[in-house]
Amino acid sequence: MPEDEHHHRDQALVRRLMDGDEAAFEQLSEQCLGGLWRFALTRVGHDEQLAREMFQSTLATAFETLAAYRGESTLLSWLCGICRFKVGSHYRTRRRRPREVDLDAGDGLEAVLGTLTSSGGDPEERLRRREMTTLVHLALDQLPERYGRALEWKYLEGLPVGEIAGRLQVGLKAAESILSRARPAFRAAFQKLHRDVEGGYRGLRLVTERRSG
Amino acid sequence: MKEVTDDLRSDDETVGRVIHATGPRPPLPDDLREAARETWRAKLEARAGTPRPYRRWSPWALAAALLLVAGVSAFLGYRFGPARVGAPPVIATVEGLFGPPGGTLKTGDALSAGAAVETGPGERVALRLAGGEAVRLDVATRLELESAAVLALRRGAVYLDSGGGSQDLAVKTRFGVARDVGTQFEVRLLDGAWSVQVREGEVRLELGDETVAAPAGTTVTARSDGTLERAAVSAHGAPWDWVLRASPPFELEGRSVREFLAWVTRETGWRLRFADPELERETREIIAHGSIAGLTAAEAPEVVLPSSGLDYRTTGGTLVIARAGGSGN
Repeated sequence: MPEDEHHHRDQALVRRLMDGDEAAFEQLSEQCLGGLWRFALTRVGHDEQLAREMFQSTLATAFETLAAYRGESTLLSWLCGICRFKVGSHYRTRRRRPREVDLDAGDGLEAVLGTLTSSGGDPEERLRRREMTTLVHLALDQLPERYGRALEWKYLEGLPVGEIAGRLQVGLKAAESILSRARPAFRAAFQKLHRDVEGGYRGLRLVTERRSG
Repeated sequence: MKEVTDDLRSDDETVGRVIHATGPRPPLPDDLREAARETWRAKLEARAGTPRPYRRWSPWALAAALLLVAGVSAFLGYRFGPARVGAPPVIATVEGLFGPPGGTLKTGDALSAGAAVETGPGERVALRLAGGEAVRLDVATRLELESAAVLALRRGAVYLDSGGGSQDLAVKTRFGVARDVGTQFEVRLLDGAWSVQVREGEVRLELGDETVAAPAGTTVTARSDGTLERAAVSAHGAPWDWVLRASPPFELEGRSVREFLAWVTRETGWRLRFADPELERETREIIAHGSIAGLTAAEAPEVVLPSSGLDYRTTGGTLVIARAGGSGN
């Protein structure tokens, strides 16, 4: 599904949420809430109690301002933007910043793979593995849904492409094409998250323009 | 060609191994999903105005409204004249509700003379009077709207911002009357006393035959035994925190950053200074798109200014705007 169609789909979902459609909430839950939860965990250094607080606070604001969602990004990105702000605000109030993940080397993935497959057992290393694991999951969350699912089916469940095609209800060639687009998309999403985490809190992104004349 | 193919294969393998090594994405905990559902339902109900026992039209107000419709109230007849029939004139609208969802009031509701608004613990309300003045009710407050120019505070605290123009607004309490002279101020009922805290302009306190002036930066506390206390109060910070939390959202979409900054300083009490005088003009030309709903005026600069290529800091109650990456004195 092209990006625009995702945005249209998300706008339709938001309209149904505003109308009180229970099925829309189920769709939101399936499509976005897991991703938002994992995002919150990452932003607060895996402090689960704080992540819960940020998750709920994000949704309280989001449900109050659903009408402000204009489909300029995916609904999940919009929710994560609010969450990013909430977390930043939380740390700012307490005059400390979230602990940042140090991915340590290279552009991310190769270095991450080394850490993920290492057997080091000291607490710091275990923590780094957990944080990287969450970042990988978050990168999958950021992909178009069928990309994320196709990658998981292939690399976690080991399904052959034919079966993936069946689950996606597309032909074999189309499934191969989806997988070949999903991999670089995953890498790009991961690298972007890596940069974001390295950069720490940056606040909600708003678009501004210079008025001509 | 061989190199490219090898690179692609290597890329595929790395992605696959990373995903395999991390395992499936952990699901959202069930209790959080249910909490999210409850929050969603509560917000829906709040928007639909599901009845709740707080933020209610008081029996007094309901009775007054009924009398108005019947056209038999001497009080209201005096106020609006015998020729006025049908719906009573609107003197205020509800601009924002803050706190737990629910209540009979909804954002956008029109309030007529005689209406009373109550808040419970943790609840605040923002109103806009017909003359454009902003009114905020703190927690545990009851305010009766006698007219567009006279408000009766029965308990709690109320904040008024007449936008700098002299509107001669009056806040009545059982101890006396506070009358504004184009200002921002708070009136609070205390145990056996009342206080008037002035942020900008001046307020006159009418205490029986005596009139006392309270200028900006002053809190005057008048006790029922006739004693009067004066204290200095800052234009920003803790004494006004509750007002910030009862501030209706600023509609950012399509507005200039300069307009946004004017709102921020009005709400926070901060003074505004540009590190470079040219920046003042530039902020008039930067148009923002997006929403800052849910953020207070003190929080919003952190979101809006970086996306506009601007940096800021607050020092001694002054908001200093600089170019991002600049020195900004």
